[in-house]
Amino acid sequence: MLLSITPDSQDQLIAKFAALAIGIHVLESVLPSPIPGIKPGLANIITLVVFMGYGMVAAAWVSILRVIVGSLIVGSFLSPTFALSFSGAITSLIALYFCGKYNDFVKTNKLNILSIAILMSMSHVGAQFIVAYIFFIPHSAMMGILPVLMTAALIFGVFNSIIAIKVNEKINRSHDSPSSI
Amino acid sequence: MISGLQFSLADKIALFGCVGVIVFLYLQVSSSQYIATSIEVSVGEELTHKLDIQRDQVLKIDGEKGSSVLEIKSNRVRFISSTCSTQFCVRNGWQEHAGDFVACLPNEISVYLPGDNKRYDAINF
Repeated sequence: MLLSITPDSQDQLIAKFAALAIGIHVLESVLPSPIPGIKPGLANIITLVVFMGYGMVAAAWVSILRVIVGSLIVGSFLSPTFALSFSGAITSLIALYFCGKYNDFVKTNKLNILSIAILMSMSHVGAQFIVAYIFFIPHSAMMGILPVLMTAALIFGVFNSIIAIKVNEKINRSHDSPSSI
Repeated sequence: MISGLQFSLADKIALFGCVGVIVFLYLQVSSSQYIATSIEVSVGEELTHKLDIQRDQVLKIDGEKGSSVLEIKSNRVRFISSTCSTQFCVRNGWQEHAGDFVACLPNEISVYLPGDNKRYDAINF
């Protein structure tokens, strides 16, 4: 019995963006990280760009594919690192979902992509901290690093959202003119 | 800041909320460091007094060779005076944090501040 899957254009779109995000994820893993758990999270730029252009479902696909395949390539699949990474990704997607629902529901006073990005990044880091605290280091001294992690999440969230806005602008401009990126 | 980026009321609330959470966490961490829960005074091997660090008092403890006077004030404790010749206990001054320890060895009086978050894991003199 042969299973036949024909990828449609949506699949190809998600695959291309996911490949981009995975590439960024793997390249970013060579950057040094003096404080454990703090990464720039550059692959989230792709998640934001996909959300801005193609919506929640596509962004969720790209994010989860990036976490799973990225960890396979880096070699940390199903490791504690992966548990932290995956729980963070799921939580940030849940935050993204609620931000999207809020923006659909409300006529004015919508959340812009910068606020969405910092809510995503802080919920990502917050979920990682909770998982790390419960499963790996249940010590009260862990609370000491939480403010530092949250500050980094805020700063990198702003940084990534600015890059995502610029990328989105470039994509939109190139759709107007027939050149490809 | 960036062309086309508008900040609505919801954005300002979200940003303010996130910064507020971070400030709150920093304050939490700084206020909960090394809090001593009580004062344990031992003469020789046995624990003779377990005192409340928040209650200001002055008390005299009788030891092996003589006696020492402890003062508890403003969540701190110290040896005010002692009958020993070297007076190391008095010279150590105020003990404040969890894990702090001071003793008058001739009188065999020791004062220890227990707590969850110790400042030092171990101290050697």
